[in-house]
Amino acid sequence: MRGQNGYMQNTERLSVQRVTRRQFLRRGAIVGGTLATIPWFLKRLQPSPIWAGESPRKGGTLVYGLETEPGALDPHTFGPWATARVVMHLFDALVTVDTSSGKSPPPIVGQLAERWEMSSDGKEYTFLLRKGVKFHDGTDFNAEAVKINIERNWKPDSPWLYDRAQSFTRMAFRWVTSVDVLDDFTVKLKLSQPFSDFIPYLADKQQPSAIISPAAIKKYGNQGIAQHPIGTGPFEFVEQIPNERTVLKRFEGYWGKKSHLDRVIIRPLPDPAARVLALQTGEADIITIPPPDSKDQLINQGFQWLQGDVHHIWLLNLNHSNQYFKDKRLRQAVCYAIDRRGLAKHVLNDTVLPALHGITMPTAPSWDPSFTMYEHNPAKARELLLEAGYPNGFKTIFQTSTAGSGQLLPVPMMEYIQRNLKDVGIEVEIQSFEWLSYVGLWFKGAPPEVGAMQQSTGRSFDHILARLMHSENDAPIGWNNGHVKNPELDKIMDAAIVEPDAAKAQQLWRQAVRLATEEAHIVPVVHDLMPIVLSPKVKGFVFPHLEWWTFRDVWLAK
Amino acid sequence: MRGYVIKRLLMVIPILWGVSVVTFVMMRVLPGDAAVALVADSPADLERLRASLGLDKPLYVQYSIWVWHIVQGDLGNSIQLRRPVVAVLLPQFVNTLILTVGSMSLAILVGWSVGILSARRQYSIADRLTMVITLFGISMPAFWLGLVLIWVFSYYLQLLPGAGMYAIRGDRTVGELLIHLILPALTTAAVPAAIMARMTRSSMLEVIRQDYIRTIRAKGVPERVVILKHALKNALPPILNITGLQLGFLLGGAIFTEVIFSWPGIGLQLYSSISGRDYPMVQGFVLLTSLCFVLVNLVIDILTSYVDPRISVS
Repeated sequence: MRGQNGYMQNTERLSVQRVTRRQFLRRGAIVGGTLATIPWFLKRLQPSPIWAGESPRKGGTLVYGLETEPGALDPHTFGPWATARVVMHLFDALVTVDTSSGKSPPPIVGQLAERWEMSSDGKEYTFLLRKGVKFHDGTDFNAEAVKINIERNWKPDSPWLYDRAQSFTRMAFRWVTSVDVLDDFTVKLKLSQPFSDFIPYLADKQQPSAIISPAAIKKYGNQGIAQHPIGTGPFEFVEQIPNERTVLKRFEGYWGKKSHLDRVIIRPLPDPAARVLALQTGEADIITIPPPDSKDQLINQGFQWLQGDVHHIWLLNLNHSNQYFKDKRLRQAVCYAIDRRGLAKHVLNDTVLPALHGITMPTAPSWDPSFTMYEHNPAKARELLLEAGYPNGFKTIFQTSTAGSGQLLPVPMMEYIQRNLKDVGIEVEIQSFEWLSYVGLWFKGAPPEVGAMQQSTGRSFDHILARLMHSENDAPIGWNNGHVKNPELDKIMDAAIVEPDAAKAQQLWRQAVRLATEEAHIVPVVHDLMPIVLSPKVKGFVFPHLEWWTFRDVWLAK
Repeated sequence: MRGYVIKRLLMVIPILWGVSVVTFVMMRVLPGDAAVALVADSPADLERLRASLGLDKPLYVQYSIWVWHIVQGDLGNSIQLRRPVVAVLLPQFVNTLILTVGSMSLAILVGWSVGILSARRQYSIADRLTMVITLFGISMPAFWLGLVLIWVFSYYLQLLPGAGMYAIRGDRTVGELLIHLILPALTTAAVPAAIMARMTRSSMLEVIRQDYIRTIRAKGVPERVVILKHALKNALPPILNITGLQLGFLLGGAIFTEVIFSWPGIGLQLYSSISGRDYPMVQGFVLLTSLCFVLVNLVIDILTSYVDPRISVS
């Protein structure tokens, strides 16, 4: 986490007067001695985090300048991470990711489940629930509420089923066979096979295991929850005026540590320059996705610029059905030709991390910084082209979007890569599309004439790698839109998916990452460091190492 | 007159029908659909989601269902916001109307005055300067002008707010609204003001060369009366027409201005609805703005016939 306070330069007029040599030496010694102690004092005056030692102040309204309208606030049926940042405040889940720990990766902890137990075969999970928890509508939380919510997502013949929720959370519940209430505060879920990433999936965006008030579902129906989001979270819903504001207030009946803030206003500010200006003029206290070129200015003005590892990877899906990229040497040539460090510095002002540790994400268990591959090496790239029979290079097409969720600056980044590849003889034609048009194309999979399709994705768990590269997920069925078919890789990933022992699963995923990276199935390019910019008066915010968090522990200084 | 108005109002029906068909088809032809926008997850989940949204039905069935609901006064529910389209659009339309009234008042005041003064002193330095400035006004993109105004007045001088309709932590008072309206209204007014200034100038020039103006002047009628009473009245029809057109465009939402200033109008909503392929919202928006456009033009035509009795509405 980084933060920097601004400083002010004072100038004063010096009067010129005569001094003796003795006076000069004496004064010099005093000034020199004083100056020498400054670093010592500064070191002690620089606590981390910067609000350490200050007592939290209760009250106030925090304004968060969000990059988009958060949309419908049903916790089981939203897509963007931006929506998760709002929904997280209203709903608790069985399990969640502790975004206030400041750790990378952030640990998964029980929230409405005090703890959980997995059977030795990894097929049964028993959740022991928290007692004395109330929903915002005053009703009690219990095991029946958990069963209803899980059935809303998963059970085809349940009266609670919401087909739209099923489309968002299917991956989490794909192997669940039953949900049984053992007593008022104990629930057991049975799976048809072990699933090593089951708990991380439940905690993902707090989505699949978020608990809505059953009374609210009965009263407003599945469709109505979007306008009546009633959960057990630290904040209650007040109002949502589309494109203007979403207002939350502190829930006084919260079971856990109550928020210091009276209210949180989420204000959609879609224009990046307008977001920065809103922060500078005090009309927003926190903004996300600031333009990279605003970084130095905002830091110099005293704003807190936080960035760090998150679960993100910006990558190129090389097309294995393309005449060139079915050859491993040509895939590796692309990997060596890209100057990731230059791209991170010159295009994104060091708001990203060069992706040099394989096809994975910084907060996933398979992340291993001791493994480094594909540093920029144009000579090696040319050598591989020569070896593959293309001494003069070749022409190909790379596709990307003009903007979009997690896409950073796709076109300037792609142009930088285009120049890198031209240096080794590969001529790239860039085709860019409007975001949703591109996602539509992307789901269909890369056609043979396209060399690569760019995308960005990420989770804090590794099952996502199987979605990207397992042959059973070949597009248009799944996300493997570069048509990777590697039986050895499939076998390792299959073993990792069903391995109940976390340590063993981690080793298997790391093995898969090394193999896939060596084979250059995908070109990892950069990892977003997700800058968040805070006004100097915002205290208590810890960089979450995730794309979502709550403002529960945040307070506003006067 | 009544017959004419009824005829024009009846013509709204085929116009709206044509517009609805074109919008419906165009939104469906765009690659990527509402389901992709909502979930952006695996294709298998997309199919499930499409079915739940009714997007798996044949196009003519989807269209028929939508029209059937409209006939019953129901524009449907927003896919993204899961609220009735009318409930979302109407308050936002009021916000756009406020912006439109503000910017059109400004544009009419500046555009008409500048046009009249320029025509009055043709080929003077002021006239040439005005024509150059209006050229800039017409060419200036709203997103650029808006950002410059925000930077100067909100950030550098800290005089005026640069985002939203009201202070985010304050009360929703008329005073707050007016202060927040200044910069967006200036941004939106730039192009219409410039167009109206040029149109007013050329229309006035045509009129003040007429014999009757020379006669009035020869009679010693004061110049102010000549210009405002006799010349302007006859120059008004084309100016009114262009004003009506600009008004119609602005009622459709000044998208760039609304995005830059985070003004919660229908332009900003259209931007996010198209981006999210929120079909019912986009279709509802197009119906509403088409209706406004047609009605504004009808009002302008009636006004023109009053201003210049030679032009009969029938």
